[in-house]
Amino acid sequence: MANAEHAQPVLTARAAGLVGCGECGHVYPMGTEACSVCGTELISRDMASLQRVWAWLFAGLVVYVPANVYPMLRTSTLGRTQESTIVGGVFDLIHHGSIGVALIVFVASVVIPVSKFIAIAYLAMRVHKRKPGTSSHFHLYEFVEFIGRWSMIDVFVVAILSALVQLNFVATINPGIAAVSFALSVAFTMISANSFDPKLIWDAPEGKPV
Amino acid sequence: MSDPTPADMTVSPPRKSVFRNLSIVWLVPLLALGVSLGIAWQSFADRGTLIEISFDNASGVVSGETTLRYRDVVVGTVEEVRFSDDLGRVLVYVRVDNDVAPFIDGEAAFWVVRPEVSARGISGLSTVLSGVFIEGAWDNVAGTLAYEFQGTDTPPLNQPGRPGQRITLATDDGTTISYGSPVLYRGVEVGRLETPRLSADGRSVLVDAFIDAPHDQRLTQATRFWDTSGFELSFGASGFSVDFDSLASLVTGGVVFDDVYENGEPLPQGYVFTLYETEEDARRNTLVRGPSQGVPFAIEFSESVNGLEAGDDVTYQGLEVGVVTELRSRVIETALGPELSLLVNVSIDPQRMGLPAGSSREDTVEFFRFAVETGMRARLATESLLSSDLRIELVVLDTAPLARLSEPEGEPPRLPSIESNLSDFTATAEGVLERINALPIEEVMQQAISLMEAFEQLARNEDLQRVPGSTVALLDDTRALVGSEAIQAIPAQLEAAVNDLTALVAEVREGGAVESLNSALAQLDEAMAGINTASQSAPALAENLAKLTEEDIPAVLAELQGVAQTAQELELDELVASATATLNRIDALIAQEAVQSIPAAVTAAIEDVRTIVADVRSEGAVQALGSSLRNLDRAMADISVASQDAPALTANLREITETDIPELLAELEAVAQTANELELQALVDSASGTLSRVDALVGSQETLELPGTINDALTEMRLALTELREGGVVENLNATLQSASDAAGSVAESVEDLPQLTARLERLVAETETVVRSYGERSDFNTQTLSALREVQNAARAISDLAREIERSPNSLIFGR
Repeated sequence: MANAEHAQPVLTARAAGLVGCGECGHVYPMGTEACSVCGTELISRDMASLQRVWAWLFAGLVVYVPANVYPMLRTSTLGRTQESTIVGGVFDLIHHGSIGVALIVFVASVVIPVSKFIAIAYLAMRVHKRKPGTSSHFHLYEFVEFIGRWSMIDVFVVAILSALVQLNFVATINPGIAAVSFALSVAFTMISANSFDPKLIWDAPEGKPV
Repeated sequence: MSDPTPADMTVSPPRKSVFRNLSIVWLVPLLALGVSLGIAWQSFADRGTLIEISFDNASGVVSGETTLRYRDVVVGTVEEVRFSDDLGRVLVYVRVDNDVAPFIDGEAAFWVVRPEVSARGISGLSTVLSGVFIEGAWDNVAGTLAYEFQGTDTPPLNQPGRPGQRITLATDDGTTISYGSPVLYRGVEVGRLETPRLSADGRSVLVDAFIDAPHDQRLTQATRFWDTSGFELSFGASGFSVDFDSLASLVTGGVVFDDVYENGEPLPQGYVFTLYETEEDARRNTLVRGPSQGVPFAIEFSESVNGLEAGDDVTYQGLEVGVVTELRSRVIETALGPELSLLVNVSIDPQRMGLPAGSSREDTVEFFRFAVETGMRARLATESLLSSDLRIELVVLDTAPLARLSEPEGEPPRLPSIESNLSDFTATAEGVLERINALPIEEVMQQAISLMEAFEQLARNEDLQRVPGSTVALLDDTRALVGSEAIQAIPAQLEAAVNDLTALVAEVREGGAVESLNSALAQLDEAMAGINTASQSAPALAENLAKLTEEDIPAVLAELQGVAQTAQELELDELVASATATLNRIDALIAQEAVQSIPAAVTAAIEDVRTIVADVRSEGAVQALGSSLRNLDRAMADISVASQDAPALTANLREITETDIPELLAELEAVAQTANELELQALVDSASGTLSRVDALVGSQETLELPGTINDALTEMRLALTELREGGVVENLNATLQSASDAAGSVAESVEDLPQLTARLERLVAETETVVRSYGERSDFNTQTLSALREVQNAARAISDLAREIERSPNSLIFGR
């Protein structure tokens, strides 16, 4: 909150009566309808983005539930079939002593998605409450957008294992419902994060003089 | 121009409706929610029904892994394994697929399939890798859902949904039956037994069996079950036999069933079959327990019914028509007071008596009423000669005293009985046994033993063993005679004599008497040639003899030994003795001084001749030799004639040794071989006779005198010659020569006897040969012996056949053939 301390409110383009093109970055005076360079419609603040954020976030959350409840992997070895969920798999790994791998899986499959949900929700809430954001909020948003794709590690592992381990009776691995759900969840949260208009972070409450 | 400045507009944003501003993106979470809920609901709905199965133990059952299978298809998974409240059972909770859940009603059965190795094979092998699973069985009719079941460790026999019938068998002894034992129908497995259990009162063993469809349709009240466990050993007239149905039934026991009569009634509810120990039992009890409900009759017997039991047969002309149901005694009031009588209750099957099926009791009684009037009676009979078991026989006797079927009120009608002829059977049996006993088996054995002993004694007979020795001694003597110095000296002496004679002849020739001597010398020459020929034959003869002794005689002796070993004692001693005596006599003959002195005498005679010749030469009275020489000529001629015969004799002898004796020996060998197998009495007699004859011949006066004669002649000649020499007077020479001539004549005479002797020997040999030949093939003796032997053989075969027959069926002795 170093930025907050010098308490100098950030001057936004909107406050300066300017509007920037979202595509090419050209700046126009407020009220310009379209970008003269690339023809994109110029919008100072996309108030609808927040709705999309929330919508995708909810979708991601909804899908995240079966991703954790249903089995991720269905392993058949010599006639015995074992199903393991994400968390169950983590515990299995710990049980077998692979704490490092368990940590990676846990971070990739649980910590990151959950923290993403929390981070996006937090940012969106702030916008709703029209609290002016600081640069740290913006870094948080950037981090969320960056880290989102890494959550797909789990899904890739499942996909590769399923493709490789098809030894009929001896050993077979099949993806469970959770694999699809988890992939969807990651995808939805990424869309959610992308939908967020980071410029809203900086906006002061409506009507208050900046 | 004023630039109008628009007034600041207070722009209050329109109060937008929440719904108007609603983005379409919201459809995404809704869709996701919908799908998620859909999945959740589906998985909840597909979760299946949870059922509880209790087991004694749940070895190998793992929650989440162990599956429930129906016809080897997975239809559920064990969710939880825990104990019942009292820890008495293991409760296994199984989530069953919804599509099969409706079929799992109260009759469903569950059991744990494990790898199992038993006498009936190996099962559940697939569970070795995959672990145990729970197998379920239920019928294909959806019923009321049940949630609690009792599971078993082994597959139930009557699995629901498997067509068939469950029956109960009762037996006294459960040792031979075990869980899973097969139920066989004509050797085909049609069902299985469950674990035997005791009945409530503990008196019998009950075992449930499950008979697969469609074989359960065969079960009627006529069905009888019997135990076929293990194997059956039987030993009887038909031999020894082992019988068992299958290896599995051998180990685990088995049960066989069959209908004992046609058209059995259907089984009532809760019908319990009796499991009989043997098929015989099962079939015998047809009438006792059979539903055909034989018609009861009673028979009164005045004699002992010892050996008769309930269950014994009642037969009519050998056909089983009924069974004894009860034996009891009854008090009859007679004029002499109360008397005990034995009453036997029987049950007669009217169908077996030939009455139409469905005949009522009255019909049967009516039939018997008529039968009794025509002479049908009951009597006791033995089951078999050797057992004391009795049965009741219905017989029709024309001679039976009149009787009627008495029908006392409230009791079964009473069949009249007659005395059995049991005692006759006993008497017959005794007679048979006595006859067997009276057979002179011991005597036969004694004779056989003594025969054996006789053989043994014969083989050990010292006389017999001495025969070879005697023969050897004889041969030795002969050899000694032949090889004696005197005989060997003869040629030398002769040569000397001839030399002297040559000298004499030279002188004579000089004296002019050559012409006279010429013929004499020619004669002498001839004689010499004859002797030479004879002596040429001698080695051949010796060789033949040697060959014979070397080759044939050992063989003959071996054969003779064989003959002797197998011959009976009888007159053999005598024979041996006589043979020995003969040999001894021959020996003695040869060893006789006279014979042995022959060479010496000859030598001496030749010596004398030499002396005489020398004297004559020295006297020089050649002229007087004329007549003497003529005489000598004559003597020489005689000698020549004799010596001409000598080669013939030796040739004969050689021929005999070369041809006849080997032949004879061959014959003897053949005879010995035949004799080896034949009775020897006659042979021994004949041989004895032959030897006696040889003996007589050898011992005959003529033979004995032969050497004596020769000796006499020679002595005479010697005397004459001595006289001639000692006389020393020419005048006497004539007489002397005359004497010499006489002597030579005597010698010639003696020599003339030699052909006769030879001829006689030839005859003897021929005779011997004939005798020997008479034992050859195709001779009467042989034929007779062979036929006798054949008869003996036939007799032996007959005895052997008889023995075999008795061996094959010992009871034919008793029952006849």
